[in-house]
Amino acid sequence: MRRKRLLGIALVVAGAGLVAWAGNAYARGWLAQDRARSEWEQRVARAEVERGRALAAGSARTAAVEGAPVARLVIAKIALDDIVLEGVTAAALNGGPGHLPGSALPGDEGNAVISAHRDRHFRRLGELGIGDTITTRTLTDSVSWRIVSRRVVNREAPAIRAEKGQVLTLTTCWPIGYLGGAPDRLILRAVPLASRAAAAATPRANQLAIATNASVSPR
Amino acid sequence: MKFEKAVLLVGLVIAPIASAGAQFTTVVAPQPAQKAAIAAATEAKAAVPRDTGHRATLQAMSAWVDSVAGTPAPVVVSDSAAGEVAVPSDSAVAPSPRSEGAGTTRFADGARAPNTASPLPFILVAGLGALLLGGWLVVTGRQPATAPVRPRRRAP
Repeated sequence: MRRKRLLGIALVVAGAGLVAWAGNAYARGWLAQDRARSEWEQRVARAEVERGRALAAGSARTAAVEGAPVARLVIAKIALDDIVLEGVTAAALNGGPGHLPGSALPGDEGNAVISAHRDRHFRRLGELGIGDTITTRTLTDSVSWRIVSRRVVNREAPAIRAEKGQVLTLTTCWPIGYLGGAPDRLILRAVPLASRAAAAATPRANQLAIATNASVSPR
Repeated sequence: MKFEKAVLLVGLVIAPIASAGAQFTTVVAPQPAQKAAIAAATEAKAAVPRDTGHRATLQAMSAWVDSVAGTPAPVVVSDSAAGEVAVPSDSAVAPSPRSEGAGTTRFADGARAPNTASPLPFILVAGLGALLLGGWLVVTGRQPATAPVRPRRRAP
């Protein structure tokens, strides 16, 4: 009887530890997204000044610091409105959808790749289908996208491709809503419906504007 | 017998938790030197003249890699009139060792999709299961406060 009780106490302690650990990770992710949203709002407010400076400086090949907010992603159908952070490391993805470094920014020429966890920001990504719309906002561009393909591929499959023209790729683990491993990936590919460039900014100016603001340290 | 069943049940709950330990990739140990590196790079960037003839470029990957070694990231400053000026160093191109095992962390044609698997939901459910089972064991394993009184038999 006594041993049974001790075993129960040990299980309660272990269970509480696991729940606390997972809860802490979720809470830190929520706080990181909240911080990123605040910083994003500040950057949007400063965008006019930075845009002018970027245009004056000309072209530049720069990159944002990991963990810095780089865009806003809105998908009305699944009630998603999150700030996209630079990087797809575990720390970056815990805070929000991550922009794959080296890929284009949404609205620039090329393939813009955004990934997120299936149990958090992209937990409803599976509800999207061909024809659904997505909106992205960078410091200089606001683009509406239409999903043109939806596929599930093996996690080892070469799912990321260089593209000509503006393309947005959203990825997450598959199957969604499953506790075990993730042998597959859900890949959504979208093309622009319409692009509304703010002022006369160029894509490269957009990158520079982000780089000059990139003061967020990685988490 | 009941105790043996309870132990078997506990083993069934704990075994998957132990196997999930290898997937604990969400928590990343903080890099104390990294903040210093970023701060140094930001200060250096602020020191650049604000005229249009100069431009500062912060090499993110360089800062990341250098911060692991505890050294501040270099800041490239050059004349924008020269065109493409930001020349990434070798350290800026090389992926960090930690990211290699975590899946695709940088864009490349034909690359795999980034690793977005998270063990958190499983850990949460396992923890809740352990809590419930442990609570049940504690409650049922409690000894009664008073022993039942047996009526004495009278001698015939």
